[in-house]
Amino acid sequence: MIAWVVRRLGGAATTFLVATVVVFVVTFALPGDPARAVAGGRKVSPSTLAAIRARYHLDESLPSQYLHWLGRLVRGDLGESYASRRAVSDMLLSALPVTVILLVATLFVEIVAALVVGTWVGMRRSGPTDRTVVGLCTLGIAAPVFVVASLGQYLFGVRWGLLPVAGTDDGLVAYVLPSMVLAMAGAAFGVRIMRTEVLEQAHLPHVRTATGKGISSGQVTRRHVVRNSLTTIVTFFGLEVGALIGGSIVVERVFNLPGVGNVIARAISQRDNVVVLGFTMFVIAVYLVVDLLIDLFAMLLDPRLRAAAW
Amino acid sequence: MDVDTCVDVSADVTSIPDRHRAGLPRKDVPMKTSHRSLAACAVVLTLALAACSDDGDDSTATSDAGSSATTAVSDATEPASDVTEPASDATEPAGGSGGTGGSFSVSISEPSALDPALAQEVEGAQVIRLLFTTLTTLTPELELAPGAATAWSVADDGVTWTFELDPAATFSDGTTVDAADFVYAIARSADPDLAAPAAYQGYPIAGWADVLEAEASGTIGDVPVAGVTAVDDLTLQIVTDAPFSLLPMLLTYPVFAPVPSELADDPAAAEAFAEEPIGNGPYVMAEPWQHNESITVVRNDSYVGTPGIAEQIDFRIYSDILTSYRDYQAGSLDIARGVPPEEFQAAREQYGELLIQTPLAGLGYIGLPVARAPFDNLDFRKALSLSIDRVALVERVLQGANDPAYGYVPTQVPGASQEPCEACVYDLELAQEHFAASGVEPGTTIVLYDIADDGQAVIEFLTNSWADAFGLEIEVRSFEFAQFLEETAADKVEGPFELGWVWDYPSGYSMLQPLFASGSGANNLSYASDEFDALMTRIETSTDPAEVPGLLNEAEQLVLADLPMLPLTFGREATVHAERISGLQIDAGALYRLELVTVTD
Repeated sequence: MIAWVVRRLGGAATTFLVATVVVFVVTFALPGDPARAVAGGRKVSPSTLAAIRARYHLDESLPSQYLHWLGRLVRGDLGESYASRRAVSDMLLSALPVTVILLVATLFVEIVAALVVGTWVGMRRSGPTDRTVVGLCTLGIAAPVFVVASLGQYLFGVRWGLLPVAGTDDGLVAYVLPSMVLAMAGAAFGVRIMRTEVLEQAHLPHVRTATGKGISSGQVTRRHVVRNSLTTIVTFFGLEVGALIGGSIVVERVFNLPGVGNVIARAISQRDNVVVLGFTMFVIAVYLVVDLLIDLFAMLLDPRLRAAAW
Repeated sequence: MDVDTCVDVSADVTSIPDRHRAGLPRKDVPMKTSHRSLAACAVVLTLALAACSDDGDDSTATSDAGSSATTAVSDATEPASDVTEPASDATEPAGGSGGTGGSFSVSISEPSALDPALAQEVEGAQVIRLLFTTLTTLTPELELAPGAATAWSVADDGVTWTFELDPAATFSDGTTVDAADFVYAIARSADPDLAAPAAYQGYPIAGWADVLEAEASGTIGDVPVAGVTAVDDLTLQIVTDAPFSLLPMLLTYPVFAPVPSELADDPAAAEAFAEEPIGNGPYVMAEPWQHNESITVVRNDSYVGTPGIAEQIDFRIYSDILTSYRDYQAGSLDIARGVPPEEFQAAREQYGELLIQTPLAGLGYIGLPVARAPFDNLDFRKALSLSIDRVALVERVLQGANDPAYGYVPTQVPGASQEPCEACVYDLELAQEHFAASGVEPGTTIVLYDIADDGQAVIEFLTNSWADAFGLEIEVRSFEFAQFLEETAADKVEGPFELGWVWDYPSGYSMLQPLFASGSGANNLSYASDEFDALMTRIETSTDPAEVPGLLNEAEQLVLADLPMLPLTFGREATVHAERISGLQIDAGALYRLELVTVTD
């Protein structure tokens, strides 16, 4: 088990290192001279350009810039934003709480929906409820986040005045609408996956046996059906974290939440390469850790997986 | 202020194309159902999260920066006899006791800096102009008025300017604003170590170029600009390389604002300055800049000039103007700067007088590579211009959010040509005549650059106009702004491109000179006309302010006859404000006079 974890950590570290190269190359291969972007696009004096280039090591070759960046990364220094001249780590630290709250709230909605609704309709196959929920799920998956976010903002925020339109001034209430919107697609997916799993499990021999032994249907559902369905859904939510970080860029922008996604979107449009790089690598690191945790959690749930990993 | 500003601001406006249109409330039954379930879940989630700690709230401790009661209203030294007569500040303030108080919120996008030396866009300038008072300032009507300098004069040599500082003026930390602070601030702005984006502004000042173009030393502000000296504590002398009559106008730019000279020896203070600048303006920071969230300023009750009216101003930072507009609609934002184009018509009907429209000195233009065939042909350039229906462009494509431009300088600016330029009207017949005269074959392919994010609709309009009128084949190439600048630097631009220009200070000179003078900052395609350059020199050396408008007019007519770029639109700032807000004025440079806003509750 421990050997397995060590192997996985080694794999994650390698993936991370490869990702730094790829992301670095992609970010810096984007056309447009960052030094000129820093200078606001004017014809600036050559000495100013030179000073900017020296300040951000832009005058060096790409591999040398990469090594500089990596060397600082090891020391926990993500560099300095071209656009705002702030430390990227400071920017990350101030943006992080917002995104964490948003993602936790979103996952909470998704998990509750998947477990409760998914199991519920799974046990009631082919009825009108089943068909309605499946239909709604299709709608939830198909509706673009942009559209739902804007519509939700207009209706709940402006028309009915039930929830804040934007910003985090209202505390946690501010996250209600954004997390609902962000959760929509994931929750719909989760419900469908859970429903399918439950459907399959419900007809397996051990479930029939359990029912036949006279165990109550609630007990059967919880102990035999749901537990065996969890592995798939847990893996799904692991992947979902990655998808949510992508979706949060849109939602944070629409609802003006000063989170990680909002900063990345702005940095990309400003050619603020160091910020794009730092934030992207952070997201990748988070994703790798989540992936590992999910695998460990799946093993905890399913002894067969544990046996395979020994 | 900057081409980049134009592009950036418009990018924010329209990077959400069709989003709202798709989101208009319709009576879709299935959506209603799903909303009801969403609302139900919302309640559950709120309860669940209520247990968690409540953060991001109540952090705005209203610091009472105005407690020191030294309300020294300037009874300044009388201006010397040969002083350039500044516009009298006719709008007498509410008095030393300050205005009516209250607080209001206004939308802004994350500024690139609050340090005046690093200011380069209009967002930061909205805050900086409240925190800092430059030597000279501008009235809302854009006339020169005293600022940190109570009086100024130029010697007979035309290059030596003397500025008298207000002895009662202080920075918000209580230290006196003296000439040394200006000497330091100007050395700092010129220093390549700071790499100030707007450092190009200072070139007229003697010695500026030597500092800016020298090798960076590693220390900011260590090399003084030779032309800027402190005669005594309260007298600042600025010498220009050549006579430059527009210097007092130029000095209204934030890059020349005073900075406490103590920063030079105090690295910690210098670092803090970026987050919570110490200025000499009518407002002071109430707390450090909350990045991506808010900037809160409170009235500076020890300010020597006209005090602000509201007690507190909250700049709320938004990344999207549709969001700020929605916040305004929901009643949680007092002033929304910018109305999304797709909402403009509805806003006009719904908000009536609460919607303010301000014509701006922001020109949208089509640049042409005049050194390249067929754009080197004046007939062809005229044909292109005459085939653009600017009224239709503004009304149908830009939804009435701009004004058509028939010249390079907005008509409200002194000296601007009042008549549409000959080749700037819509006249297809005349266009055909010029096209025939140009000898360009129908079916010729020309490259059209799509640079600004908002350009697409405009680019489509131009493509259709030119294809329909002359049968030209248009090849559209999309470029990022920074990338496009490299193309211009490498002289690789093959066809027309759409860009914008906003003046740096309110004069037709600041519209025309950067765009058309040889070797100038925004003269992307190196247009050169000796005659034009000579006129600019005459304006710079003029000792008679009355002759400047005439010279500007002559210069504009000269370029319009040559038509190296086609004027397309002038910007218009659309603002909506709450009913509790009155007295809001916005100048043609898109700066909001927030110190004049009165709040009634």
